[in-house]
Formats: sequence, C-alpha cells, structure tokens
Amino acid sequence: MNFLMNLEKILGIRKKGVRSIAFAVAFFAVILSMGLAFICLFVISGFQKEYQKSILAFNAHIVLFSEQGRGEEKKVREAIEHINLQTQNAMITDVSPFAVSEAVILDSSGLKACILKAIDPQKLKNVYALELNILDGREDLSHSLLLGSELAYQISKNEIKMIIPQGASLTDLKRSIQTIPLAGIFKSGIYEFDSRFALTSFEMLKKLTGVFKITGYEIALQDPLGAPRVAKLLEENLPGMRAISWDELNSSLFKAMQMEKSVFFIVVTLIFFVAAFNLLGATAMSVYLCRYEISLLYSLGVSKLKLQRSFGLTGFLFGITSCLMGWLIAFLMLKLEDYYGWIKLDPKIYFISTLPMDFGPKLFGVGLIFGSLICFLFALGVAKNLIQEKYIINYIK
Amino acid sequence: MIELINIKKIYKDNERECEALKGLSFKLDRGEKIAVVGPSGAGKSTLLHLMGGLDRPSAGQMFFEGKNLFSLSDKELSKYRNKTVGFIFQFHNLLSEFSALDNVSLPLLIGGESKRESVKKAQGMLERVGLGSLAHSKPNTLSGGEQQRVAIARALVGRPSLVLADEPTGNLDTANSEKVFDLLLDLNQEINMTLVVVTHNLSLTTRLERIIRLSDGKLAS
Ligand SMILES: Nc1ncnc2c1ncn2[C@@H]1O[C@H](COP(=O)(O)OP(=O)(O)OP(=O)(O)O)[C@@H](O)[C@H]1O
Ligand SMILES: [Mg+2]
Repeated sequence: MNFLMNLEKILGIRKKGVRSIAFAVAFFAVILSMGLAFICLFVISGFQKEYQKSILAFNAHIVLFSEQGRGEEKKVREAIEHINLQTQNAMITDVSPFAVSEAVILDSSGLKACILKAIDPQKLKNVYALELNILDGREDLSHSLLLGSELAYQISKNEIKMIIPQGASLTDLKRSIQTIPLAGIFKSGIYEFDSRFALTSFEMLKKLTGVFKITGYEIALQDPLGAPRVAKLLEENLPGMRAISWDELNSSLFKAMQMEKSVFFIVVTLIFFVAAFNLLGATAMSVYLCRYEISLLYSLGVSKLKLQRSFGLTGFLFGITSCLMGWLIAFLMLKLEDYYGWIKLDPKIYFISTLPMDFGPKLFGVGLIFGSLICFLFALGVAKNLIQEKYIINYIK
Repeated sequence: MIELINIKKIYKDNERECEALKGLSFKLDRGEKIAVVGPSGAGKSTLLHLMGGLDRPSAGQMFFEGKNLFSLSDKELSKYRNKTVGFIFQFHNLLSEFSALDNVSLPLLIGGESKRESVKKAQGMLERVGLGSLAHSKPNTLSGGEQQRVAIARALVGRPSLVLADEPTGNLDTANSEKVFDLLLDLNQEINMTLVVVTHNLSLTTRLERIIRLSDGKLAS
C-alpha cells in the first residue's frame, strides 16, 4: 500500500493539460448524475414513507372482516389472546370493531357522497394516528360526527344534513334527512380518506340507520411490518373470517410505487453509466499519457497488477469523491426546496401537497457503494486492457 | 546459468504476423560478457525483452539458475525484473520530473527497501559513476552521456546478476561511448554480473568475450 501511494505520486505527475480536463469533465458528469440519482431516490422513498405513514394513520394495521355482522367479538378477542401468547412478544396491541355505511351529505351546493364509519370513540387515539381538531365541548362522539378535513373544507358548517340511503324507500327519503352536529375534523394526510370519510360512534350510526352490522375489526400491532404474518395467523385461528393487512389493502398503490421506483432506478442508472463512461475515456487518456512512466516502472520491477490497480484506486477515489459531492448537491437542493417549497403538488393527484423526502442513511450508503464500485471497476477495466506486456514493450525500445 | 531453448516470438497485430525470433537456443555462463549484433529488425531487442522478463515468448523456455522463467507468475516475474535484472535502454531511460538520485533509488524503493537505505545506496552508486555532485539535478539538465551514466547507476544499484543493455551508447559520441562502456565493464568486474549488450559499434564488441550474431530471428555463426 505504501508503495502503491508512491506509484500514485509518480503516475500522478502528468496531471496537467488534457488529462486534467478529461478528468474534470468526467468528474462533473458523475457528480451531476449522482446528484440526480440521489434526488430521485430521496423523493421516491419520501413518497413511499409518507404514503405509508398516512395510510397507517387512517387504516388500522389489519382489518378483520366480520362474517355474521355481530356476536363475534368474544371469539375474536380469544383468538387475539391466543396469537399474542403464540408470538411471545404480544404483537397485537389493540382491537376495535367498526361499521361502515354509505351516506349522502346535503349542502347548499348539492349532494356529496361520503362514507360514514362508526368506531369506538375511546379507541380513536389507540388504533388511529390521526391529526384531530375537535371543537370545544364536543368531545363526545355519541351525538355528533367528525369530518375528513377536505370534506369539511367543502362544507364548512357546524351542522351536517345527512341521508343514509340504506333501507330507506324513495318516499320517505325526505323524512330520513337528519341533522347532526359536527364534533370536529380529522386529517390523515391522504386526500382519498380526508375527502370521503366521516367518523362517528356506534350509537350515532344506530340512531341514523336503526339496525347495523359490524363490518369488521380493526387491529393495531406493535410493529406494522408484521401485519401480513399476523393476518395469516388471524385467518387460521378464525375460520371463515378474512383478515387483510394494510399493505395488502393498499397493494395497488404500493405496487404502482414500486414500479415507479424500478423505472426511475433504471433511468437513473443509465444516466449514471453514461456519465461514468467519461471516466473510461479519462482513464484511457491518463494511461496513454503515462505510458513511459508505466513501462519504465514495469521494467524496474513493478508488477502489471500493481500498475493496473493503481488506476483502479484512482477510479475508486474519483468515484467516492464525486458520489459524496453528488449526494451533497442533492441534499442541498432538496433542503432548499423544503425551505422555500417551490414545488406544489396537487393533492387530488398525489394525495399530499408538498414534495416528500427521505434522506435515509441506507439510500446514501447504497448510492455511495454502487457509485464508487462502478467507478473502480471501470477504471480498473480500462487499465487491465491497456496495461499489457504487448503495449508496454513498445515504449521502452 | 542462463539457458534459452528454442525461443520463438511471434508478434500479431491486425492480421499481420511477424516472427521476430525463430527458435533461438544458447547458453550463458555467470559473469560472461556478451555482445549481440545483427542487422536492424533481426530481433535483438526482442531477445533482450524476453531475457529480462518484460515479455513472454510464443514458444520455448528459458532457465535462469535452474528456474523456468516463463512459468513464473506476474508477481514472481516482476521480482525477477526488480532484483535479478538491470536494464539499460537507448532512450526514455529516466523519469524527467525526478532528480538523478530519486531515479537511481527507484528500483530499491520498488523492491521494498526503506527510503533512507535506498537513498544512501543510490548516492554511493552515483558517486561510483562520477556523478555524486549532480545527484539532485533533473535529467533534462544533464548531458546525454551523464544521463546514460545515471541509467547505468540505476541498473546496477541493486547489484543484479544479469545486466541487459540495448544500444546503451546508441546516441552518444565516440568519446562518451568509450567512457560509458569503460564504466560498464569496470562494474561488471566488481559485481560479477552477466552482461549482455546489443550494439552496432564494432569497436566496442571487441572488448566483450563473446559475440552472438542474430539474423532474421536466428543465430548466424
Ligand atoms: N510490438 C511489435 N509488434 C509487431 N512487430 C514487432 C514488434 N516489435 C518488433 N516487431 C518486429 O519484430 C522484428 C524484430 O524487431 P526488434 O525490435 O527485435 O529488432 P532489432 O534487432 O532490435 O532491430 P533494431 O536494431 O532496429 O533495434 C522486426 O521485424 C519488427 O518489425
Ligand atoms: Mg532494437
């Protein structure tokens, strides 16, 4: 290693002129492409995280669908206890029944379809991670309802006129219009949920519809990532009932995101490779400019492999520095965007309104290792091809 | 001590094939002083490159003190070049950005000797070739003869047992050629090395013990 550094010094002498320009061009290309790659990675993984977080705020980790609609609660609780014993570290932390019903909101601007979801108000904080904004003195949900923030924004009244179409015949539709006080609003961050859902209590739902069935049970877990496994256990322990984990429930969204991620990855990798090809040229040029030094050192007893590796090392150092700088550029640009918020997203399309970002150390590590490895291999490959006896002896005659 | 058996070398580039050596066999004893002569294109340089482990032959074997040279690995062959062989070329001998002293200590540094030890030996060797006072000069400030003496110092500083010189006096005037040649022979006496010199200068060949004549890749007696 010691001599390898000396070798660097000897071969590094010809840094002037063409060689430094070639390397500077390659350097810029790799920095920019790495910056681009990191921006894409950070934003996509930001989207993924943000969606995951928002989905988990409104959806329980597992939804267990009821078979009969009532009288199953004891059975469910027993199964959960059993699973918790089986999995040692009490994976299931909470369970709460829910019922949904379609509803129409009457407003001066017209009719709005919404989904009325009845839950146990006591569990609001345990099972859901929603942002709540509740009006003073209306904490009790048994006579009122919570509207999704987007829905509330469209209506902006303290009282809601609502029809539950279910069971009502056309003639008494008018009679079934009910006025319900608003308790407040909730926000999950996902437009789909915030614009379509209203939350209330079972008592309220009963008052509105007469009889209702339990749709299912929402289950909270210690670790959301364990959901598919626990869902399987639940189905095994409760024959006839269907358990769907949060990722399965939103699988089309996650699949689309994964797809998007793969496409971006391919595009960005191609861009990076185009940039890294500059390094091939620069290394080839550098080998050419150092041809006398290389052949002289070879004749004095430096092995071919050592000479080749010294160029590989140059490529590696080149890769690390340019990747680090690319990361820095990506980081700074995204931080500036975060601060000034130039890019506005349409929440109806993206569900969220600001560009999400995730500077995870994992992404950074993967990018850095990948980038510097490719640069190392490229430089080494060129050196291996050009530093050969048949070329070397031509320069020392 | 050195034995070449049926050495062939074929150069191939872009469909053109050139058979530079066509089955060469001879022996050298330790300490022998040999001149290699022959017309241009006879394969003299090719032969020297093979003997020095710079390149590998297309066919044939060479034994150096019983070792089969071309069965050695890249690493072992580079060690052979570093410790056993000293090369002197006609051109492109010295690293122009380094001082004479640095140039001479290079083989020792490559061989893994400490910086201090290398510099000490290199200084001694430069004094031996009469350039002690010019140790810190850059090669391009030295005359052609001086440069070639630095190259000789570098080739001999590691006390190699085989010295290969490819037209070492090719671009020197008669007086300087004599001087460089004297030096080479004196050092040959001191170190007891085998000396192989390619030269066109017939008056110099008379001062060597044996002459190998090459013609069209073959021995011509
Ligand atoms: N790298 C090479 N590629 C192709 N042919 C080569 C190569 N090196 C040498 N040759 C050919 O091999 C033959 C021998 O070349 P070599 O350099 O050994 O001759 P030489 O005896 O040293 O001549 P000179 O006295 O002019 O230096 C020549 O015909 C030359 O054209
Ligand atoms: Mg020649």
